[in-house]
Amino acid sequence: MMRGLAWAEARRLTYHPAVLAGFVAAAFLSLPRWFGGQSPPEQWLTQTYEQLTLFWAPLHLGAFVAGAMVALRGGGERIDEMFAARPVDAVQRTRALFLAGIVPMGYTAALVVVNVLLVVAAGGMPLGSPAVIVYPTVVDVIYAVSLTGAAYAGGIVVARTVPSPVFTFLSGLAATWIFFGLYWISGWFPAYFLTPYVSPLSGVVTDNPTGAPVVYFDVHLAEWLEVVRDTDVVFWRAVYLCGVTLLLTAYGLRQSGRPARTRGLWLIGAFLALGGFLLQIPAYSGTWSLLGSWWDF
Amino acid sequence: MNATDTAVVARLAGVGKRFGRRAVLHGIDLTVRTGVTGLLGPNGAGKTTLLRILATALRPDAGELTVLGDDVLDPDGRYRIRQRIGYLPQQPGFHEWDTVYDFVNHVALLQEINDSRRRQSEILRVLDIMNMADCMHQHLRWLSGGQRHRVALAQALLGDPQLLLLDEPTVGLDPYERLRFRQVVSEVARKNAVVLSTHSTDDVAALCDEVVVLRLGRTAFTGCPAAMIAAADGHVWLSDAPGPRAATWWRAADGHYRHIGDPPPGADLAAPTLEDGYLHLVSRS
Ligand SMILES: Nc1ncnc2c1ncn2[C@@H]1O[C@H](COP(=O)(O)OP(=O)(O)O)[C@@H](O)[C@H]1O
Ligand SMILES: [Mg+2]
Repeated sequence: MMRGLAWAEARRLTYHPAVLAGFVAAAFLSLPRWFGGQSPPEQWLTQTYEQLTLFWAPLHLGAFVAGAMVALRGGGERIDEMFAARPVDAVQRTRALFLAGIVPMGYTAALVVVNVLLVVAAGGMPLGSPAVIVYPTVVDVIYAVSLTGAAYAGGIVVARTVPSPVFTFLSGLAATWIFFGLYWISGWFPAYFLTPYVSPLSGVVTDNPTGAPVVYFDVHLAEWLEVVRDTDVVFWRAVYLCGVTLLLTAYGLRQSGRPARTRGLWLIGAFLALGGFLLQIPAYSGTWSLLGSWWDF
Repeated sequence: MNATDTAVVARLAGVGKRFGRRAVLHGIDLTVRTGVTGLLGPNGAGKTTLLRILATALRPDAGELTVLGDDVLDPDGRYRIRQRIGYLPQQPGFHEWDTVYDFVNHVALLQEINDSRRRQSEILRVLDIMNMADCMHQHLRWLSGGQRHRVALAQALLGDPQLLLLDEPTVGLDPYERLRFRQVVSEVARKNAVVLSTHSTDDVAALCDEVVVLRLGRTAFTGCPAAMIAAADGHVWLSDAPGPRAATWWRAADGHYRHIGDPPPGADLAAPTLEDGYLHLVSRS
């Protein structure tokens, strides 16, 4: 019974204008610059890699808006009354809604994988100076997909909590775009490890710019920085975002009634969110690594 | 009709409901059978509350209520009831940006009609009954009030419910749509039960086997329409001038004054109509 409804909700999201618009915008931003078969020109030494995830932002915003739109698809209390006498209850309806988040996550996975393949075909991305060639990782894909899931669940919960399209859209923008655009807002501890966006790179001040393999000069700090890939941090951020998604789901189910089994969701969500958050800290700037390099394409 | 034709579909014993400190229904005893039961009563009498309780949308807080053999207070019973009833709320809600078809499809899934072939034919069946098959690809947002109403009625018919609960289903229907509605309800009531609330004694006269008049949360009358007419026997008077002692009076189109209750001097007794019966029941102090 659950399946039929979740399928219907999923099918609906497949054609959802917000999901499609996010997909098209992200594709338009991220893919064409790789069509030439080589890495696009850079204005600063870490631009290409940093912008890789930035250009996927419309996918996340689209998922957020889609979640909000299905949650606000009209009717309000009247729709609750309309459905009150049906065997499939409000909790099951909400569960189907969250399950349908698989669809925007699938769109994200598809676009990001295509993007990664284009980067590989172009022979990778230069990073720092002297430049080393790096490739995106499986972790970048996992991260992008988990952020879409969190954005979709966030859209549902925000819209149900404050049922105003304008407010919901602005919070969607804030959550999926502004943290990237106004990166400095979150550049302090612990906000750095809690925001939706994660930087795949960090810079470590170095005394010996010629000795380090990949360095750049930070004009704000007026120091030479050694560029470090923070793949572990990205991975733990993805884990953290999965936890947040489960917590949002549990909260959304809770809002729609008293489901018997949200305990597990709360527990696993809290475990992943907290664990993912904490493990980023030692992993920051490559100090500690669990992943090693198995994730390299 | 034989015995199975008038099976008991719902039984209420002492059903009460309060909102906060305010009692809205007091000890309602009622037996609903196959056929059409009409709920009449002034605004605020408790018709919607009673229908919501029958629809399992609201829990009674006193008394006992079984619907289709299951107890509404038992969660499993409630689930089984919901599989077999259809409900039209007084103020239906819609997914405004859906097409008619998509919306009814969504409701059909909530009704657990999961086989897609069966669901599709069921959707077409109910839309066809309500004469909405032609506009099933239009968005609800842009439909007229009457069309939306027909969509709301169509969704209540999904799955051929054994008990159909309709809260003021004829409000806003034009005369043709109203006739069409009567036809649909009488068709359903041949083997199933329909409970509908209305302000129109014409609807009751045209459709109902049983009438329940609610007044201030109590049943003021239960019986067949003929018995309701008979209740006003000896209380309806015609005269040439208004009589202020009557519970209610008005000047009829023929120039006579029609009184219900105490007659003015020199008045003649008149044969009551169903409306007189209703007015007599609700205007008594
Ligand atoms: N959810 C509610 N909260 C508080 N009072 C309510 C609620 N629903 C109905 N009432 C009150 O109960 C009374 C009966 O209402 P209702 O059943 O809608 O009457 P009817 O349908 O006969 O017009 C009214 O006075 C109404 O104000
Ligand atoms: Mg009402």
